[in-house]
Amino acid sequence: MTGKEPTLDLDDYRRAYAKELAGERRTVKAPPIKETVALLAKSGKTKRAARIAAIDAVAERALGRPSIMNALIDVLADPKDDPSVRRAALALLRELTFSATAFRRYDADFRAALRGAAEDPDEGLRERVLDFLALHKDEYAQRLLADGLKEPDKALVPVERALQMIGYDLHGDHLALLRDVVGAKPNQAVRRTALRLLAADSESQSLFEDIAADPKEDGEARATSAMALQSLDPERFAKVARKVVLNEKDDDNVRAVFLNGLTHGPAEVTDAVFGKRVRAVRYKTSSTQLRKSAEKYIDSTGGDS
Amino acid sequence: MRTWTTDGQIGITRLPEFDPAKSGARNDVGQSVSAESVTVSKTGNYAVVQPTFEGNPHGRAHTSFGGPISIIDTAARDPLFFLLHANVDRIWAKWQWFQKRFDAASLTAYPFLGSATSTGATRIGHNALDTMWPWNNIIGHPRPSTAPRKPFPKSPVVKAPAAKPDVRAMIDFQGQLNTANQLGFDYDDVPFEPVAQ
Repeated sequence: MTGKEPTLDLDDYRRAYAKELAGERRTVKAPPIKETVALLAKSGKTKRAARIAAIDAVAERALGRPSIMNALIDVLADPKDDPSVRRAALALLRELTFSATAFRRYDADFRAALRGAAEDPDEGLRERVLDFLALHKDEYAQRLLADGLKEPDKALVPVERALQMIGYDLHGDHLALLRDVVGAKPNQAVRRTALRLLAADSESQSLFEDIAADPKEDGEARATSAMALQSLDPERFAKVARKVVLNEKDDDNVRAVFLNGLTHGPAEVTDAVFGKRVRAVRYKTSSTQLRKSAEKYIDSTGGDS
Repeated sequence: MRTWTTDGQIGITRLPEFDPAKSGARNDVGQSVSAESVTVSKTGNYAVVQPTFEGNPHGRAHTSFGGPISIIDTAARDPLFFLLHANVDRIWAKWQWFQKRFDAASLTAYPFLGSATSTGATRIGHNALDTMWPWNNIIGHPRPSTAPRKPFPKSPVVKAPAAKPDVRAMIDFQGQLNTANQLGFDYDDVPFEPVAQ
């Protein structure tokens, strides 16, 4: 490489950055506290934009002022208030929970408001409320979500979302529900989520084995099933994986995933015949991913032939 | 990330509440994560900057998603947590550079100069003279019940921080006041610009 590296002129850099800051800065004058509280208390669709703007403007000062915090919680808790404003209040309250010590005094009221909104007619609000509650392992929310899976007309969120939320705090009694979801042959996104959540379920081993071994199955579902099976029964996984890896008619990406599993898994026993055939895979395949997986496998098994 | 597993669960659940194809992380009611400029341009002391910084952009970045990253208890399950916090640290470093705040003995750089038992102290672990968990091997409320990976490993290239780092050691991370304070890392958009003494 010829030529000097350009040096940074620090003064220029500082000036340019200051100019950038000046260009971006938007000074939003926060309204007086009493005015903000009064504005938040005006429910209904009028002044939606003003109320949302007030919520944003007051964000920096909210935690130190019970009147604002209570006003925000009241907005969230009011089923008759504008859903957009309620979503804005919820967003700010969620953000403020990251100042955990200061927020603690509002926890109980916030939780009560959230539970009250868990079945709200507004889908966006409902989903965010349930997600927050489920992450906090709220039993009320878990019950609502499980009921929605058992009886679709009670569902408060789409099936995949319900599964994700239940997954935040998986209980033993959820496993049968998840197996039913997989058995109902839902769309692939739902199926993949359910399979991921079943990963530690020892009663699902045969299910994982069948899905992993079947070339007609969705690739992601096969990969998830393979990982789950490997975790539950590494030797059972290894038997399935070897067949898949050596099947030239199978999907190369899936073969690579399974070979990676064998490379990094606990149950791999040096097998000269298999090793030789993996070498053949390495030379024959046109898939870069499969070739790299084969090379890693060969390296990891010490080059036995 | 196909094999990412935490707490026994495979995969990552992370749902943006904004359009990832557009910048600004603006949600459906127009709220957005603050631009870097909002924090960096604050001329007040750190005590003025920190509360808003913690809320937005830090807290708002967390809550611009649904899923584990959006609450304190589970945020670190998502690998994005580490990138988010690296950016938070970068913005703090950028503020330090732009506002010239590297003196750990000055209130303008950091407002809690004593330890947790000093007058006017903040919560433990956040005062300049507090050592940091887990490297200090102090367990039990309000700290966690275990302390893995202590003491702080020695670096082959820099002397700081000590085996039990304190908060104060993080302030002059570039070694502006004393090269012995260098922590051995920097950010590509935060230059080393000597502060006039």
